[in-house]
Amino acid sequence: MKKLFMRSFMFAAALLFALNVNGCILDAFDTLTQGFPISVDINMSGTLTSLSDSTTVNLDDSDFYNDNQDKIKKIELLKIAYRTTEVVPQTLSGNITLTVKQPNNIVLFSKIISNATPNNYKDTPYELQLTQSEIQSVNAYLGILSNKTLIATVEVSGLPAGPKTLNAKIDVVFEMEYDL
Amino acid sequence: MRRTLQFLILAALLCVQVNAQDDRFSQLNEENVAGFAKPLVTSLGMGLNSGAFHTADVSSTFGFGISFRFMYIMVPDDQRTFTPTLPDGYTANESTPTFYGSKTGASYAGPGGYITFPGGVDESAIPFAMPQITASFMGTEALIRFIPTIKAGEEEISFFGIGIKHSISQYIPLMPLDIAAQVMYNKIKFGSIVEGTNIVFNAQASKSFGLFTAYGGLQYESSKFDVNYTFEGDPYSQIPEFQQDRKISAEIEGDNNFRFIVGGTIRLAVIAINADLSLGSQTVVTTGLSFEF
Repeated sequence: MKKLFMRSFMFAAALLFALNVNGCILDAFDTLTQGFPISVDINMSGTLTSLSDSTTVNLDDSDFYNDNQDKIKKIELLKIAYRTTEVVPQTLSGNITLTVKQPNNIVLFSKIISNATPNNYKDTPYELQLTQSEIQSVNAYLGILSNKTLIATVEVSGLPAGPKTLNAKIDVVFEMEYDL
Repeated sequence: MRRTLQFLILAALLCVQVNAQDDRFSQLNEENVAGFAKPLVTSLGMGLNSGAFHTADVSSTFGFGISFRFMYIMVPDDQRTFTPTLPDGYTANESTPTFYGSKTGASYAGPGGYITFPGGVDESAIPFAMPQITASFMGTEALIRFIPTIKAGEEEISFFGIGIKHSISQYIPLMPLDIAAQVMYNKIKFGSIVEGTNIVFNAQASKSFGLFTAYGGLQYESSKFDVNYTFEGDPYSQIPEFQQDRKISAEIEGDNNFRFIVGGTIRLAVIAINADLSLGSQTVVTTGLSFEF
């Protein structure tokens, strides 16, 4: 009887172990995939018919990235949006071109928002629709984990002559897979 | 033997323990933690409240049993996403994963930049296991589920459950079925992070055919978990409420209220092997191995 009890117990133990270690969801807890946002400022003013400004998107500017950077397995670009914070005059309109480059000036992608009225993007950011190949080119660059910076350039053309100011933010979401 | 048992139970509970302290929760504010975690709380409730019986027969003299219960809890697709609550100016134009959902969380654009949500574990089922002891006397059975306090990292895990079952059919002459009613209380604690309580009431019936016993029941239950964690703010966020770290305490109730149970038991001398299916908010397959004297 004791032998039967022990065999049955071992069967139960083996089943429990198999359920919870081999097939189990424990593997799912080894890593976490988490998106984190970074926003950078673009400030333009002048009297010409086109304005532009460049800024650096630096992963080090994210607390979340810094807290976990020694455990990162993968980083990818998820989303990017243009958002106006101030525009004078409010009726200003033109063609907004957003270009994202590597620090060595290799262009990763460039998008145009034609006939845009920046004032419309104050409360509702304009989310850029990136193609798969554009996302892949950014992710290939970010795949080298020492690559932490992107250069974002905004150029607004087709503006009327005269004094004007356009301040904006580029909102980016990166997704990071890291060990827990 | 005791160390082996503790290790196995620890492995079973580890799934849950890790959940509570992993970074997913630290990205959720007060308004969204319930939406994210409710399916998990429901699963824990469905698991802890399963396997309470494998027959409605209660010994009219004296009985004693040791059991191991194994549960496999299946999460329906509609519990893998939820619609988050967002600040003014934002629109939840898509759903985001719950704890069980896909690994990529949703992000929402708005006047303060993007708001991001954590991904899930991308699982649609979890296993669960526990031991239990029963002792019966004169038509009443007491049940105890107990795990000695186990150290897991910085935290201690403890689990305790108690139940009592009483035979109703003993009062009804010539009753062709065994009928019983049962009440059970479970409490599980992971250090100061998670504390869950579960209450169960059920009515059960069974009929034996030689070595085989068919059983079924209707069960009412409730599960409530208190979760304590730190929301990790982002000082660069343009949304004031998202800038600061803060402690969050949330009370989350599971969706598990009623379930219907149907199953069968085969008895071989002192060994009883059973399997049943629970149909409720989530579906649970329970198997059990019992040694009954």
